[in-house]
Amino acid sequence: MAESRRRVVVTGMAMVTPLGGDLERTWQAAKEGRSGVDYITRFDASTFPTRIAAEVKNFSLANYIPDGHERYGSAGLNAQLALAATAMLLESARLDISRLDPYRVGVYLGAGEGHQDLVTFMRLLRRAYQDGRIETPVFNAGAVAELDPVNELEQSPNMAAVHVAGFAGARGPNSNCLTACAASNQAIGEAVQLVRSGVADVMLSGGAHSMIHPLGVTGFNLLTALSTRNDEPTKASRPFDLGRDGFVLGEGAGMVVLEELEHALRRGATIHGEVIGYGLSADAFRLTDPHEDGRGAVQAMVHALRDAGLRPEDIDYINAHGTSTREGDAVETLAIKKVFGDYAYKVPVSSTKSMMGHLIAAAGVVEFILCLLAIRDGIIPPTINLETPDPECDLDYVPNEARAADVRIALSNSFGFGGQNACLIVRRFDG
Amino acid sequence: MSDQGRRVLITGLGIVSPLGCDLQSVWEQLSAGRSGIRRIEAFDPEGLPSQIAGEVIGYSARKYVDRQQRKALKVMCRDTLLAIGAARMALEDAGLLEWAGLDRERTGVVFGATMMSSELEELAEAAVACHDEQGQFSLKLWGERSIPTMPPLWMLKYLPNMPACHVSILYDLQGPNNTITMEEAASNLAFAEAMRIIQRGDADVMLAGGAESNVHPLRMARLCLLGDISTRNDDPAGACRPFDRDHCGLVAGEGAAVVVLESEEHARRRGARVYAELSGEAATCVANADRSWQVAVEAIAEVIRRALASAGADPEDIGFYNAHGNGSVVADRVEAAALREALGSKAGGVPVVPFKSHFGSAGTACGALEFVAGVLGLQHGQAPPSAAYREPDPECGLDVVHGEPRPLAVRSFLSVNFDRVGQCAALFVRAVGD
Amino acid sequence: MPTREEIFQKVQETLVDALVVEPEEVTREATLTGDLGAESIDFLDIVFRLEKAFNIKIPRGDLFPEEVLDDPKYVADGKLTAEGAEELKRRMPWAADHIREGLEIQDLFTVDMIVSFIESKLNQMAASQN
Repeated sequence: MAESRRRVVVTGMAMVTPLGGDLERTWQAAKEGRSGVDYITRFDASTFPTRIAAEVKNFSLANYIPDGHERYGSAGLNAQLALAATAMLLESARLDISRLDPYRVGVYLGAGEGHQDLVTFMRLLRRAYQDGRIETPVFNAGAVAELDPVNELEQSPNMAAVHVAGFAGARGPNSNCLTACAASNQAIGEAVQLVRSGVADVMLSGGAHSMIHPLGVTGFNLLTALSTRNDEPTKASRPFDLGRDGFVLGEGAGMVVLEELEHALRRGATIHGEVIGYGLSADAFRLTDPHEDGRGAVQAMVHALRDAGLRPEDIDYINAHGTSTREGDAVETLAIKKVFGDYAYKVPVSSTKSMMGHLIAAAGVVEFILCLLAIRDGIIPPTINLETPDPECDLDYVPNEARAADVRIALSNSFGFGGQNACLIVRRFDG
Repeated sequence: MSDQGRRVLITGLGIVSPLGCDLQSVWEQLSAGRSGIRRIEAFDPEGLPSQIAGEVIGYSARKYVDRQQRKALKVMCRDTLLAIGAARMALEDAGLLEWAGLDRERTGVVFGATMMSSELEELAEAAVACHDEQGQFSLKLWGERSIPTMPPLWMLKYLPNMPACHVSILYDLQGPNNTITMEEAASNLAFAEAMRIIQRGDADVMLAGGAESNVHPLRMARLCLLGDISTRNDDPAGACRPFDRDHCGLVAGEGAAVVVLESEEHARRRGARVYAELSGEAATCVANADRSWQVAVEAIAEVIRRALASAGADPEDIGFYNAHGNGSVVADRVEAAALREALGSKAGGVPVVPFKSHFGSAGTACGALEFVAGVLGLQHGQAPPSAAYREPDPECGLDVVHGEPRPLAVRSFLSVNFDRVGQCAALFVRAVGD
Repeated sequence: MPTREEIFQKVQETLVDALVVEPEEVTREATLTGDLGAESIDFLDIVFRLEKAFNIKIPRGDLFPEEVLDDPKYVADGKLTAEGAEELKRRMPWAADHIREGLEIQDLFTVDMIVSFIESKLNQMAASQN
């Protein structure tokens, strides 16, 4: 770790989650241990294997951007969620990019893809399916005549980043990564590196995702990855509990302002914390199973600690990936033990996915912000629904109730489908 | 101002392209100014306004995986299948495939890719099952009857991170792994990120690249709907004519290219053959609300200036300009104006090579294909000629290489790519020792 | 009713497609995980393909009762416990001969076991039709 490297602080944070339409409401619900999971209302899921999810309730971009939200009317839900978070972000960070060099303010998101127009797509396919095969000329002609070009374009996973940049007036490096559940942690980590390396002074980073649409739920159901505890929605997401049976889809967005320290001090910004560690790795093992030794998770945590120049004992709180899948939670537990040794049993570890479900690409940033709030208020959000501990999961998961604790340094884990792992470490800013 | 801690060298190339699936054939075709654009063969393109593409012909991914790993092929869609061939070639070309000294925890992958489109056959039964007797779509029927007809691993096949994930699994590469989903800017951004990862010391070796197939009915229909696509179906090889008087839109493409990037120290220690150095990068974005190719000139000009500054290079250090040049009248003119704005009076003297005339527009993969093509140019000391250029568009006013390959006065290139909403990324590559 | 040999042939074809192995590797004794390299997502795929090949429905957990194998009561150190063996015999009567305490999980599922499962499934269906 170079002593001379540029320091990166968080000078703004905002989120829209199943627990609340903004940061403070989300935080309040998380402290109270409430569940945001309920029956799916976005579409008729009554015959799906999974009928529950954690939706953002009554979302309307007009509530966040009263003047000009119409411009984004055709944008996908991911981009709209990202824009809502960005509007709150710029306001709370008192960041006026028009007063800065816009080419030194960038955007790096881990945002998802948009939603396919399933009804039209299926109509086109059905028409083209003749005598047991797809007649592509029929499909082609139908697609060109009936698909909506704007909707097709807005589905692309680069669109949230461009809408955020346009809204904020940021003209610097613009990127989006989509590494499944690790995406927004990775986006924040790489954005930090852009500031450290001197390419940018300010980065707007985070992510947005909703896979609560028919094809999203179908895809995960086919893989048997989702909980089917349809009778008890609020009990369905139960990381580390013996009765866990898969994850619960959530949706939402989180955004942070990452800023070079001197730049932040000069403009008198409020500093919520300093990003001091970022660790990356790949399991390189299987598409959906984590490596049974937890090797990728171990490496990512070790790299983050090394980047931060810390010992494991310096970590006061771990926000776990903890998705509520059988394999995933057990392997993460094992990996934490490998990295932290005896201290693994002392450090509080919680999974906030127990309350808001799995925000997929947006999960990392929301959990990163919860770490900053734990530092700010000295409160660790709980793992709810932890009723019967799994013998393989025997750490202190802060079960069911939030806990007061002096948190100075927190670690946030995100491990993606496909094996990408990204860990972030934040520290209270004390100058 | 960027961290110049470690130099990043290019030590291996792999390509799966419409011009061939090995470096030598690709170079032969490029230097002869041939286009890989043809009438689409993968499916019957009737019904589409544009029925041509830069299509990869005669490629079999099976050749590129060991027997015990073949099982992985069944969960790969076209984009991923293209990627794994390019990755293996790059590792082999770099001498890393069999090299026992490779530290797999310090070797990673960053690719440009996007959300892939489902093979239509996989959804055909589902499409029938979700309609009632009156032909109305019903979600209830979808849940009850369509879902069980779909292959259980369906979704896994189409996630954008799959090319990079499969490559990491096939070669046990446990270092940083990322997937950038930024349309035509994606591969350039992936190269830049891989470069920074090596510079900051998080890896010694990175596979950087991109993979995408637009040769798919739904993807083609989307491109047609977005407009600015060439419908010169009767003259495929002459259909994509960047900066030419007769440019008439872009042509779809597919392909994958992967480059081995390596820290100088690591490359020297193992005595690697070095093609060139990736010495500068930049990215900008001026959001283009109307979603046309009318991207702000300033965004492209700025990315050019910043990439040169990042490499410590002046306009006269540009051996050739590896253009975005997709053949859209609007995009070509904006790009030409940006080059003039960024380079001033020097712009007219820079040889311009638009590789999309050879490959078509392979979306997130185009930067990677053009990067490999550019490095081959440096290796041979030549800027290859555009495949379809005859008469200049007077509004562009660039020196587009055409007819014969042009010997390079300076062995370097500046590569630019941007997408229709205004996201831009540039790279600067120079031969080592020049 | 197809013969046991006919069922084996079809199971073999299915596994060749699902696991991308050579037909001669798919012997009756071959284990899915240990010998044929199946991982968790492959079990989903195998069930899906068997359903199509034999035109049957295989409810989740019938052929491969994963939730039993996930339970620390039934599996310790990758081997079946006495309780686990009892539970599995109850759940998988068609494989009772093969299941025993101490059996390595990676050796649990064999090609022959799938053949037996399909046979018992087809028998049940035939019986219910009569």
